[in-house]
Parts: sequence; structure tokens; C-alpha cells
Amino acid sequence: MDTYSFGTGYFVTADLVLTARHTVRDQQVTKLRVRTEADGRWRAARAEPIWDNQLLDAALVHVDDGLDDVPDVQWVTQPFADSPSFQSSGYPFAAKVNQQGKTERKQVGLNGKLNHLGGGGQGVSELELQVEAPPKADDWSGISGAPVFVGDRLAGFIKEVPASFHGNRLAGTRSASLLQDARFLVATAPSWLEPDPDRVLVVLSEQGKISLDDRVRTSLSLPQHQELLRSSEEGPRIAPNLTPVKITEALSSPGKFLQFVRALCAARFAIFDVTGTEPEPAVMLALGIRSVVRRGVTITSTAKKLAEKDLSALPFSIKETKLIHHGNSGLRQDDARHPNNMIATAILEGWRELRSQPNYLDLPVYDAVRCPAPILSTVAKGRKALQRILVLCPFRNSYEEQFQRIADAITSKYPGHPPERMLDITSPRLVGQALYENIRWSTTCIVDFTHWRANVFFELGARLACTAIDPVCLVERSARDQAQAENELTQKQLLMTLFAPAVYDAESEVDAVHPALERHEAISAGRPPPTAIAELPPGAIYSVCEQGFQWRQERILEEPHQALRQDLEAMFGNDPQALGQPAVLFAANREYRRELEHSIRERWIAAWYYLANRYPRDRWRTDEGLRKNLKTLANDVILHASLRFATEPALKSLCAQIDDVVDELDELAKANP
Amino acid sequence: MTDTSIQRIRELKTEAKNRRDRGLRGYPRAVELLNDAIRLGKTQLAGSSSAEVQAQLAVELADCHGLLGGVERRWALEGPEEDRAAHLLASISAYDDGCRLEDDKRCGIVNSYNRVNRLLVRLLLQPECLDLGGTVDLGAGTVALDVRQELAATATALAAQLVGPRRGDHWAMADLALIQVLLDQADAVTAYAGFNAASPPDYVYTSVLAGLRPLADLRLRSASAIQKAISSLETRLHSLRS
Repeated sequence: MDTYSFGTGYFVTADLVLTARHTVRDQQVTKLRVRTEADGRWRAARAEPIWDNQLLDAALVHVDDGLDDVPDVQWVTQPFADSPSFQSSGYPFAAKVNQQGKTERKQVGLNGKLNHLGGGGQGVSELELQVEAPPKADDWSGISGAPVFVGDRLAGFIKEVPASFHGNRLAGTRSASLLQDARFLVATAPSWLEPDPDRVLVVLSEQGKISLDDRVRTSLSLPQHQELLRSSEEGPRIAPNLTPVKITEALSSPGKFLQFVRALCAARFAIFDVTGTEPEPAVMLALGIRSVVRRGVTITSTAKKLAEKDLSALPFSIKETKLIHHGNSGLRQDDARHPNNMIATAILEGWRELRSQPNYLDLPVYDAVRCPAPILSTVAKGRKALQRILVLCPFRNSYEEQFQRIADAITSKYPGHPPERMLDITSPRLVGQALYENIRWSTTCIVDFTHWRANVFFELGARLACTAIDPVCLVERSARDQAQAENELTQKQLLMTLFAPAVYDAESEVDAVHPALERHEAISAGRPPPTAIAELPPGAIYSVCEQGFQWRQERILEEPHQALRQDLEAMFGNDPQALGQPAVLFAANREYRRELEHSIRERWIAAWYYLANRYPRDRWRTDEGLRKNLKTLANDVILHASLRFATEPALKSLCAQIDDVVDELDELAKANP
Repeated sequence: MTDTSIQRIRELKTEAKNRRDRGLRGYPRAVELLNDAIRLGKTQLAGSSSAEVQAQLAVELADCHGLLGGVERRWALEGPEEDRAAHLLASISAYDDGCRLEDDKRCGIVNSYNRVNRLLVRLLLQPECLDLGGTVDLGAGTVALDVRQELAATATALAAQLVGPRRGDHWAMADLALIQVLLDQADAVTAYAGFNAASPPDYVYTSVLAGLRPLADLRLRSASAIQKAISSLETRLHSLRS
């Protein structure tokens, strides 16, 4: 017999109902309906919540036929200084009535006091609600999910009736806690940018005078490029469909920015306008995030043709990329260097190399942040990277004194833990590799916005994407004030709103740095302080990246035989005998070549032993895909491991066994067409 | 792995090579597989309007024709005597097809595999055409040509490739060395010096020797030089393996 249960909820958008998670998750719900009180209609809803958070006991239910018009929710984001009255309504068991033999639940209005001193202690901070004229505890069933309003602002919802209070106190989830959850923000933000792997994401700078999206569209639409780009044979199968994103629009609210991050994770192809020798900070931030989350094709482009001296002035992170030019070139349309040709060619070439090279990268960072935590040279003193305080800041003479004062402020807070910049780290490793590895692993990372350096913002993006603990952001007061001037980039103001850097004054850095570090400690300890509605909550970017990154691309997920094959093909291609020259450097060295050939053979054999023995023989009969893989591998192993002409008895025997398998697979294919 | 037709052609080629390497009992299946690959390649080539894709398919097709010519040649040499001529003609025909692709400027192929081998197989069928010169028509749809003249022209083309797009290519070096020996343009040791210096992998030596050995049995003026080349290459291969 079907059973049913009741809960209460509140429309926070036109089609999303906020409720207590246990009302829809713990009951093994197969069918869900929502009744709207205003018109008494029952509306179908998805049984699976589109977002939920077990810790907060919160869920968002999607209603298929949503409401026409819902006012924006006014959230309570800060703690109350006193204990205000609250209002709520719901459908508790206590409100059950019998109407001509049929059980109905009536809506019950609730009033009471929100006790501002309660709800703290261990675990997540909650709402403590004292209710006037309560029923006994058991009769509250059905009230879970009921909204809690203080005035016209939503303070949270009711989630629990603590048994020991006999029904006169309720516990609720705070709105502020919901707003700290990045996926909640993405779900409830107005839909602006949907992730789409097959559209080319074009990130437009604030000041771009030559429209990069027009250039990209023109380039991709040219018939000679479309033919290759759409090809299922040797092309990435993309149409000239773009998603242009103006960087200032992406920064305009936390919800939009997080949707943008999701798009950065998804897009197979992304092009960034990094015009100038000091590209815009927000574009660099986005590029830094992209560099962590996606092994895709990412192209950097400048509208201004750079002279040789400009190239040396480019930010460190851009110097490593193959920068293309989308400005007015003065070249003929049929010139390969014309932007209309360069853009499509770069996409095509990038895609081909991405497909053939398992370790393809067009941005730094990706591999470096996937390394395990480094043990530093200071290990003799018992310190590891995990204890490092890394400072990402400008490098210029005029900043040096400022840095020293910030460093002193940090040291006075954490004696014995001097902050380090990359130039303070003594490791002889390549700077990029060591930097990004430290960006991921340093427990505390401090980022100074002052001077708005492109490199600093790229590194900030990398940190935000690869670590759940956000950096401590700082900005010097005059830099903050200057950013508000009319002729300044709007994005600076937007960045300060989203990331809320602590503002410090020259020569009294301690006043700002210490509270910022204390806030950071609270976040690290799982007690994040409230966040303003316009500000990104702690760990939000990391959380969205964690959900949205293309995990199928991660090499660790490859089956062993595929990983071995990919390693070999990355070096020799998939038709090595056609090569007229040795693919491996110094392969003519006789001793090396002997070992090299041995190693190649052993890898192919390992791949074979894995796949041939991994699955029961019965499966060969039923699984056509497995048969195909086995046969392809069998032929590759015999040929590329040179088994046919091997003199070692064990290898001769293996070759004969594989021949038998090939024959058997042919027979099976005939029998199971 | 992307399941494209080029990938499929390569898989068919790999399987055909393995069938070929099983010897006489593997040749029929190898020929079937290569014909499948050629059919697939031709269909794709006809359906593609992209110059880049066409060029890649042409490379694969030329390689398939060459492999087919090689299998037919082996079949002729290892199979019953009464089938020898038919397999040699089939081999020439396959190499001629591959050569047409290699010569087609639109395909942009820089190779000599089919071009050299179509001449060598003609020698297996009519050894005297090397020393006598003059155009010979072997019939059965094969191209009528002057083998000696074509070998000389191929040597010139190879020399040009080796200072250009095929610099350091061991297959090209081996082809040029063989022609130089056949035409008495260089002694065996000198001809193969560059090839040996490039230290190609074992399978290249094996393949080169497989092409040379049947030529040593022919009544050619250069037969003893060919024999010397074989001895020298066998010694080299032996030392590489030891």
C-alpha cells in the first residue's frame, strides 16, 4: 500500500520550493506533489531534489509547473542583536481535521520569538524558536520546512522539534547558512548562463574595443573552417555557436559569477581577451580558474599587436601561453595569420593535440595542482608546505616596504611562521610548478589586490578553484579608494564587492590583517561568519568547481590497458611503423634502445594481461565492446611488442595464445553478429 | 580512442600485418583485410570535401596498397610455383595503385614505398628488364614502363627527399641504397652506410632484408652486390640483437 507524508515549504523562486531535506530525502520518495495555498492547486514536482544539504537539513524541490510571479526573497544574512518576533505557517499533524469522513490538514499560523542567544554551541548554528500555544511534540509532524519570517525577511525554516522541550521550542535552519552554500546560490540565482560543452565560451574584457566574439564568430563561420570544425572525422564537431560573456556581467552578483565558473568548467573551448601587457584582473581571475578545472582548449587573445618589448613585459602566466591576435592586422583575408584564420586554426590544432596528447596543456597550473603535497626543503625543521603562509602580491620596489609591514603583521599573529612569497622560497624547481603546487597546498594564502596585478589575479583564480579554504584577501586603502574613481575599471569595484578584501592602511596593517586572519581561522574551523548577500560565501568557487569539473577527463580514471596504450601512443603515435625516424630522443644509443624496446614490449604485454584476464570468459560472448577492445589490443600487442619474431620461449608462447584469442574472437563475432 | 574511419583503417592494417606475419596460412585473410581497408578509405575519400582529411586518407590508402603489394609478393615467393606469376602481377598492380596516390600532387604524399616496390616486383617477374632496359608491358592491367629508367628517376627523387622533407628517414635511406646497389652506383657497404648510421629499429632491418633476399636469387649483374648488402645488413642486425 502507498504511504504518504507531509511537509511544508516555501517558494524561493518561481519553480523552487525550499523545505527540510528529511521530508523529501529520508522517505524514499517516489512521487512528489506540491499544493500551493493561494489557489489550492496540486502541482507535480521532481521527486529528486535539485539541491540538498544534509548538514543543514535543507533541500530545494523543483516544481514542474511553477508560479508565474514570485517576489525576490529578502534574506536575513546577519545575526540578530535581540530576540525578534517571528511568523510562520505550516501543516502540522495537530491541524488535522475530519471533514465528512475525509482527513484534511489545515494551514496553521505560528507566532513566537526567535531567541537570538540560542542555536549556537557545537555544530551548525541554528534558529531557536519559541512558539506561542504549542501542541505537544508529536503533533508537530508536518511542520518541517515551514518558513520563518522576521518582518518581511526570510530568516530560515523549521527543521526539527527537539523532544526535550515538549513541543514549545522548534529548531530551524538559518538563511545565512543556506547562503553560504555555493550550490544553493547557483540553484536559486536567475538562470543566466547554462554550462554547455559544445559552445565556444568567449570571455570579453571590460575595455575590449574590438569585439572578440565577432571575430571568433566570423572565423568559425568561414566555410573552409566550418568544414573542418564540423567534421566528425578529424574535427571537433563544433558549430559557430558562441557564448560570449562580458566579464563585468559575470562579476555582477555571486549567483552569476558561480554560473560563470560552472561554464568555465564545462566549455571544451574557451577564448579569453587578455589585451595589453597588463590584462584586466577579472579576466585573469577567470583564466586562473579555468586553468585548474579544464584540460580543454583555452586560447588567449590580444587585440593589440604586441611588439617584442611588450612580449617580455607580459605577465608570467600569459607568457607561457600561445597568445593570438584578434585586432586589426592589415593582413589579407587569405593570409594564414589573419585573425579570421588564426582563431579557427588555433581551435582545430588545439583540439587535435588535446586528442592525441594525454598531457596536453595550453595553460600552466592543471598538472601542478594535481600533485601530492610537497615536502619542502625546510622539512628538517619539521615544517611542511601545509604549514606555509603563502603571499600572492605584486613584485615592485614601491611595494617592498608595504609587504614587509604586512609580513610583520602576519608574524605577530603567527610567531615562527613568516609569510613567504615565491621569491622567498629557496627551492630550485621551476617557478611555475612550485608556485601552483604551493597555491594549492599552503594552508593559508594571502592575496593583496593592491596594484591590481594580472599575475596576482590569475593566481587568485587558481587558489579559489583548487582549495576549499579561500585566501585572505587584502587591499590597501588608497588602492581601494582609487578603484572607485570614475575613470577606473568597473570590475575593480565588482571584485571588491564579491571578495570583500580587508582594507588596510599603510603603516597600520595589523588593524586589518589580524581580523582578516581570525575570520580565516573561523572559516577553516568550519565556523564561517555571516557573509553579505553581495559577497561570495567561503569556498563557493571551489564547491562549484568540484561539482562541475569534467571528471571523466581525469587520467586516473582510465582503465589500466588504456592508460598504458595512451602513454605509448603519446610517444610513438598509433602507427609507429610508418614513422621513418625514431620518435624517441637518443634512441640510436644502443644500450638505451635495448632497454627502450624491452620497456615498450613489457607495457604492451601488461596491457594485454590486464584486459585478457580482467573479465570472465563468459563475458566475451555477450559483450561486443569488450570483444572489439580485446581484438584491437591483441593485434597491437603482437605487432608493437614484436612478439611474432621473439626468440624467448615464453614470448613465443604468448604470441601463440594471443593468436588463438584473435581466432576465438573472430569465431565469436561470427556467432554473435 | 576515437572511432573514426582513419582509426578503423589503421586497425585493419595492424590486423593484416599480423595475419601476414603468420606466413602462408595468414595471407588470404591479410589480403581480405587490406581490401576492406582500401574500400573504406576510397568511400571516405569520395565523401570528403576537406583537403586535409583527403590528404590523410590518401596516406592511409597508399600504405594499404603497399601492404597489399607486399603480401602478394610474399605469397608469390612462398606459395606454389604455379601461382607465382599471378601473385606477382597482383602485387605489381597494388603497388601501381599506391604509386598513383604517391605521385598525385593533390595528396601531398612524400614517400617512395610503392614507387620503389612496383619496380622491384617487376624484376622478380622479369629480371632481364633491369639490364636490358626499354619499356616492358607485363599485361594484366599493370603499367608499361622502363624499369631501369624508373629506378634512376626514383633515386634522384629519393635523394631530393632525403635532403628535404624526409631527412633522416630510414625507409628512404634503405630505398635509395637498394637502387644504388641495383644500378651499380655504389658498393653495398657505401650504399647502406647512411642507413646503418641512422640506427633504425630491428623491424626495419627485417623488412629491408625481406625485400633484398629474393633479388639476390635473380640473374642480375648486381646479384653479388645484393648478396653483399644482405650479409652486411644481417651482420648488423645480429650485432644489434646481441
